[in-house]
Amino acid sequence: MRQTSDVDGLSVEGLVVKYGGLVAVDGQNLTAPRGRITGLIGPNGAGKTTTFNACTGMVKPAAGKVRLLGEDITGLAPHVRALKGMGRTFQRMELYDTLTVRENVVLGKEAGMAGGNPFRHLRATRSQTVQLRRVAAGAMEMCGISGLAARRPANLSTGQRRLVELARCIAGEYPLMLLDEPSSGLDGAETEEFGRILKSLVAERGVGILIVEHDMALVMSICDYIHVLDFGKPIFEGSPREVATSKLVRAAYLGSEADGMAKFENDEERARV
Amino acid sequence: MKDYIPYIIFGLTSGAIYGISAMGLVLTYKTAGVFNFAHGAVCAAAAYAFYDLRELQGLPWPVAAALAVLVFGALLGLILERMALVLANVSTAYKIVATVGLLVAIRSCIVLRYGAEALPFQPFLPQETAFRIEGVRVNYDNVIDLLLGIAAAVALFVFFRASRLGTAMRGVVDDAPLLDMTGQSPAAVRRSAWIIGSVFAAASGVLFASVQQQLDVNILTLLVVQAFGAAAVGLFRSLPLAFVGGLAVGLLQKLAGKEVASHAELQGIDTNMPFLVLLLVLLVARRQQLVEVGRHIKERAVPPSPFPAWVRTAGFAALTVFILLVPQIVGTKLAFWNVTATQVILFLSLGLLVRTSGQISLCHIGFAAIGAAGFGHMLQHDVPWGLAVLIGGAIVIPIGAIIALPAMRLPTLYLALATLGFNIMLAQYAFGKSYMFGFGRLDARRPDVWGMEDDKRYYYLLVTIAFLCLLLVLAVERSRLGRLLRAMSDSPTALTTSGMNVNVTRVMVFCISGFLAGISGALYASLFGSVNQDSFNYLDSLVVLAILAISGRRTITAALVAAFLYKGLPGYVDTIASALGDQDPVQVQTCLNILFGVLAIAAAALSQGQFQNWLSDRGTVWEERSSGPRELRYQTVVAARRAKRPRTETDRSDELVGAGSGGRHG
Repeated sequence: MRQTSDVDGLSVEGLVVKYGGLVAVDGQNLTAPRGRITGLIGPNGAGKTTTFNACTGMVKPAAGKVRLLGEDITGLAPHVRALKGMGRTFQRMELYDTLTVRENVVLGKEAGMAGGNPFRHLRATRSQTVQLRRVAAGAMEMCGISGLAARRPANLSTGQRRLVELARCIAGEYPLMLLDEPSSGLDGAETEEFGRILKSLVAERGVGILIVEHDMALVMSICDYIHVLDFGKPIFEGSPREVATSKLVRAAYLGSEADGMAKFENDEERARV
Repeated sequence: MKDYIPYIIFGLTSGAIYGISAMGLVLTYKTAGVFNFAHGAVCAAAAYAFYDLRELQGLPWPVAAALAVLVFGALLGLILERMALVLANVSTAYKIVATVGLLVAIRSCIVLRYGAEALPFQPFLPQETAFRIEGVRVNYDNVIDLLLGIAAAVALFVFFRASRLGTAMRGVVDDAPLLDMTGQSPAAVRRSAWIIGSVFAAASGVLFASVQQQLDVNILTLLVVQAFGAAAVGLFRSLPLAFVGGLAVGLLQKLAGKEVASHAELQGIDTNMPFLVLLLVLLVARRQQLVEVGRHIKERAVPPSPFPAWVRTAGFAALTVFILLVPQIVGTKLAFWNVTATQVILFLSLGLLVRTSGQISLCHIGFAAIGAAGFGHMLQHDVPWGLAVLIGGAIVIPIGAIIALPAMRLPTLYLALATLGFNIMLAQYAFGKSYMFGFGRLDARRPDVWGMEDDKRYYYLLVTIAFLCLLLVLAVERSRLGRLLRAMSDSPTALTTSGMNVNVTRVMVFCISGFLAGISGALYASLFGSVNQDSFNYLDSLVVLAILAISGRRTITAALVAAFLYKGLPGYVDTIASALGDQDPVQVQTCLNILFGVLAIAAAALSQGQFQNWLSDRGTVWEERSSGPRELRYQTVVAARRAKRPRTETDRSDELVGAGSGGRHG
């Protein structure tokens, strides 16, 4: 086994998730170390989001272990996992639509400050307020949404909303971030911008990112390592190059998304020429 | 063993009736996604209808029973179905508000026509001995009740498994749009469910009145508590288990009744068995088993005030002046205004809970009673007056936490059920005990400084305390807790994944709300010199929720308006009554309660801004009519021109821009 229990990041070992009789994820192993972007791809219904939910504690696995920074977090409640350093975004964005963008981003950190302590729920101390302001400003700056701070997410475009959710996750200062299909609903330019932000995030802050994504061009351009799932089973893992040339992956992916890989190969060839 | 046989027989008899009622409740809940708190009120209405037809109109009982159960019950079912249809698109909190409003309205209608006192009810089933078990007589009516219950359960079970409509009902639970596509109308299916559910409720109401041999509007209305205790056994989903739960609750109740008869301290606990069963289920059930039926609707945020800032400032200034001048204006009615001032705190507390966190409490009057009791006991121990008030509030905090904790991890609905059960348990079990209101009554006085015996002076003290409570609520709303609460109403999931335990937040706000309710109860008690178990009408816990719902959603105005409607307006009921031509003031007050209930339903139905949308829709239609033809002509001309000439670069870029922005927004 390649996985060791003291991976500096997230490691999943032999994960099995069942919905009633259906085995949604069967024997998943993966690692997402810090300082890297790890991709998790697969056709619809392959169990990618379920893997995410098992990692963040929103579904209970039937078997397997989830470790974060070497610590076993399999049985912990979702909010405790976040406090241990794992943030996530959602495929269907979970934003606070009635609050401003700034409040949304601030809450990425402030919710963790409140945690499970009733007294910390009541009010922010002065030093916390200062810290929150700094963290939120940094996160918004990084995502290029400082100009939207006073707007409400309900009135923003999907691309902007994705950035707000990402900024909220960045504000949480997690060593590890799980991003669930961040580019769905984005156009080409927006997706490129998104990829650029993720790369600079990893370069500047050394966070680890585990990303579920359908946009192959994005996955191929930003990921350091890719896991491929099909029908709940891991079928392949390797570098973007290995994934792109794998017959097995091609077979599972016959359809529109294979185009992205073909395009990637073409680009590579063109670069070589 | 022989001693237990009569209790088992009675337990099974009433258990079968609870079972019938519970099946009706579960059926409507799981097909329509609206948990009907007025289910017991339907039972009561049918029982009274039966009484009316039989005793007052002189119809033979089979005819009266058929009319009350089959016709009247089905009619109520149709009305409920219309209501549920509207409520499908409002938040859970408002669904609860609406059915609670219906409960208040139906109960008040019954009181209006038949009075609040219990009426004798002639049992109509044969009372002769059918057979004996170990020498204990078993009457025909017991046997018939049990057989009816079993028959209803089996019939429902077979109907669900075998009939086409039964299958469709299961389909509507799983996926209504999909059912729609197969050619079965979900609306028609739901209508049948409501009719069956209401007929079951009506049948259980008539049978229960017959067993009790009396018509008591409160007992019948609260049959919903027995029903939800029984339904809890089936996790609010399973019909057969709901019936079994009914039998179990009935048996437990009677057997507990026998056991506690010899323990004075436990007396009254037997009637609360349904609540205890519910609490047990809430404690042991896994969260996944108690998901809420129906679509989850986010509550609409409170829209910004339509008035400019200076108008609002002027309004509040005028209001402040009025509040300060009240003792000079109202004359002999000042006592009512003093009570109103204490109730402002109650509504601030309830508003904080309902508005900022979307939770529902159906035990706020119970909390107020606890606060009053704590306050009274503190005074007995010579605690200074102000401290006693604070302790009265503080005592509610741990109690509120204990009630809320099991329900917190579950959806809003279960908190409402738990608090309603607690409210009733408090009234039926604890109110009579010495630790609540002493022996008979508990002294509660005003502070003995500054001549507070004078109502005018005391009024200003009360207003000051209410103002401080208002500041507390405003501070909570503006603090971190307020921000977390607003975020929670948008997306609890996001908060959880950002590292916050949302259950802690919910319990916090519930406890703060309980604290304020306790203070309001303590001050209320201080007005009268003493309190006893009749000082707090536990059913008012439902009325206050209805009143709050119709008082708007702004912190300050809602609390003031609601407090006036609840305790200020009754001071002027005799004026209204004489203005209406010498009506009975009590009847007028009952009519007001009907009005509150009905308006609460309307407020819930319009809670998502339906009225504003309807208005703006009408506006749009009107605009289209006036300007429509011209626009239409213009477009046609442009389209015709474009069709004639070849496509140009500008056309295509227009389209692209359109498609791009459309995609981004979609």
